[in-house]
Amino acid sequence: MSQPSRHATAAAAALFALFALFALSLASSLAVTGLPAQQWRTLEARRSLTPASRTDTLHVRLAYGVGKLTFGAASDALLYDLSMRYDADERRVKYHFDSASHTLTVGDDSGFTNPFSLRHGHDHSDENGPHPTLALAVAPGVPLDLSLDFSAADAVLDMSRLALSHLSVEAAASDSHVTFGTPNPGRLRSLDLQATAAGFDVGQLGNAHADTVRARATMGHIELDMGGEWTGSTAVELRAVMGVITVRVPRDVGVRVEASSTIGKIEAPELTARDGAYYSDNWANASRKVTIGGRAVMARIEVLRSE
Amino acid sequence: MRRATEVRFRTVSPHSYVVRLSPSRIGIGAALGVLLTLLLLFPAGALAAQDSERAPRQATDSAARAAAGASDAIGVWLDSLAKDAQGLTLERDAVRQGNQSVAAGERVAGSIAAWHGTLDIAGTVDGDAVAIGGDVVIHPGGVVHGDAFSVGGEVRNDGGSVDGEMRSISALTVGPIPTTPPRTAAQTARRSVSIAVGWYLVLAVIGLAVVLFARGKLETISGRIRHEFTRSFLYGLAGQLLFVPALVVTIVALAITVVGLVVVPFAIVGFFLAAAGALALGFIAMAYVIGDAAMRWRGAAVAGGRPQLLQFLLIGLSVYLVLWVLGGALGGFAIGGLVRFVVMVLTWVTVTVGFGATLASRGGTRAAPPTDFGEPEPADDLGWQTPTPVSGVAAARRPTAADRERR
Repeated sequence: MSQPSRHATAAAAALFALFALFALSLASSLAVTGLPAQQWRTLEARRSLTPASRTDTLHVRLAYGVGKLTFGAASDALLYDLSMRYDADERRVKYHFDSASHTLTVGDDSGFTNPFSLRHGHDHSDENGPHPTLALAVAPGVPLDLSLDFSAADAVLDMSRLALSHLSVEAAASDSHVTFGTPNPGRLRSLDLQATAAGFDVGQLGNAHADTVRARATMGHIELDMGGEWTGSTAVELRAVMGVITVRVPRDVGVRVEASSTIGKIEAPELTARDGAYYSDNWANASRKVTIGGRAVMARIEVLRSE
Repeated sequence: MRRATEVRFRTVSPHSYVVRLSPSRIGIGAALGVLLTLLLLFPAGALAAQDSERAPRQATDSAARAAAGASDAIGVWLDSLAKDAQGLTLERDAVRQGNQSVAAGERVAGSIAAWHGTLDIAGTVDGDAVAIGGDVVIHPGGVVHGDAFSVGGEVRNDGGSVDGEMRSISALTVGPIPTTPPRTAAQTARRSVSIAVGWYLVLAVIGLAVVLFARGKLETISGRIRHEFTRSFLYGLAGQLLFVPALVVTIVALAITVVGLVVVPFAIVGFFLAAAGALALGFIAMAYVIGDAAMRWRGAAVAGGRPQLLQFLLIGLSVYLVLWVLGGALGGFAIGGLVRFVVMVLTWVTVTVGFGATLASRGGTRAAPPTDFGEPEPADDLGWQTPTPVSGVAAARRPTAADRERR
């Protein structure tokens, strides 16, 4: 073997040795420093439903970061039922019920105390270990004004049996599933959905009986299923920026789409374009109708028919 | 532990490492040896630094425990209970040791609390019902007009009523979330040095790979830097300024078509990877040029094979290591800010020139054009003749000795 090639071989061996040593050193340092001292706490809080609280609108303001979030209906005797598991080294739970304004505020003050620490990664990467969770259930049938704001969370929101009057959901870097399993007893006066770098799907949205649905996807994906029991007309306003919004409308519902795009696309494959809008064949005769408006900027809006 | 760390860092003096490293004395093996030593010490240093950061918190915890042990346990608990996020205030007289009960027909005017016991309520409590280290059980007919609260147990409503909230918590979480205390000047310096050494190691490993697998590209980029330093800097500056606009234009161009829209995420990742690769390759080429220059200055032979290339590269990187360590170590001093600024500017210029040379040479695939000021080619004896398509016609007269003297 010539002199230079021997040097090259030695250098190659040294390179691999370096890689191995570096990996070992890194692994050992992470093993010692990366494991956080966690203090897991559980909190359970619930309040009984009183005759007075059955008719007053319950205002719920929930903000949550990092973890699994579930929301649904409580048992009939409870106004709310809150259950949390959290790492006391990372966050402090804050919740408060103001009986005068009938407002429940739930949140934690520090899902992002150490945004770049390994602890958050540890929370989610250790499948066998405990995970931060928040489960909130509220009284079914009590008028509900609900505002949910969460980040980096897996959210399952079941609105079945609830009597919603206002609903606002803002999700960032999250995966969210919203279901309206049963018809809303009253009108949902406003429904605002916002997904930022998040995936969001809403099932049986027709059951919400919403006057207006507003959905905004920024670098995210929102899927709205307009199925469910509903009558009359519903207006849907969409705005997609570098994202995708898909609306699935049952075949018996009349659809009118009037949306614009900037470097984007409006797709309505089963609708007919006329007078600057898209119409379904049954638009004139349908007993229930949905009007979809919106704008796609470097994004796509799809309107599809479902069975 | 802290003391050991300081000793270790003193022994790893990058400055002395550079002074001793000369081609005549130390070969690649020795250079790698130093590198390995640094590699092994880096995590240890980082660990020690983190340990020292934890120390104040541990001391605080110990002090708190000692204080708690010295004072009355119930008093401490009541204080903690009041400070908790969902805390409530209890009078000391309301707390009783062991299991407690409020019998049917009985009425407690204020609050009641069981200390390490179960609280059974069949009567009426006008205030709060609390169990610390036990359960609160509300039996049929039992009424609590305030909150029912358990720490370390549960609240069970077996048929009574609670006007307030039923709440249980596994343990109290008192006070603010523990955070790392601000670093001292020594800790900051130590951390900066650790980061500098870490960067040095990462770049050294990348450099080794480049020397082994992309030597030609490295030499081409280095050639660009040597011959077109200013132009490379301007190219690099333009590249940095145009990075974001170019990315946006690429995304927009791709988003026009459906197929392109699908490719956008890959294009973004690819764009950043390409930029990172160009920056790394350029920096390594600059380090090589500096190492080469340093060795020439010391009278060493011009680089020939891979081993010498590697040696010069490590020396060049070591120059930056010294600068970074200097900037980090002087962080706590008055002059530290200025030194850091100078080091940052130098590093930025290096990165910019290297980046520009990489761009100009299309990633090391296009060599620099010959310069106008290069060494003159040796004169051709017949160069003075005008070329003619047919031999025999000379357009100029051959210069004579008299002509040369006249000139």
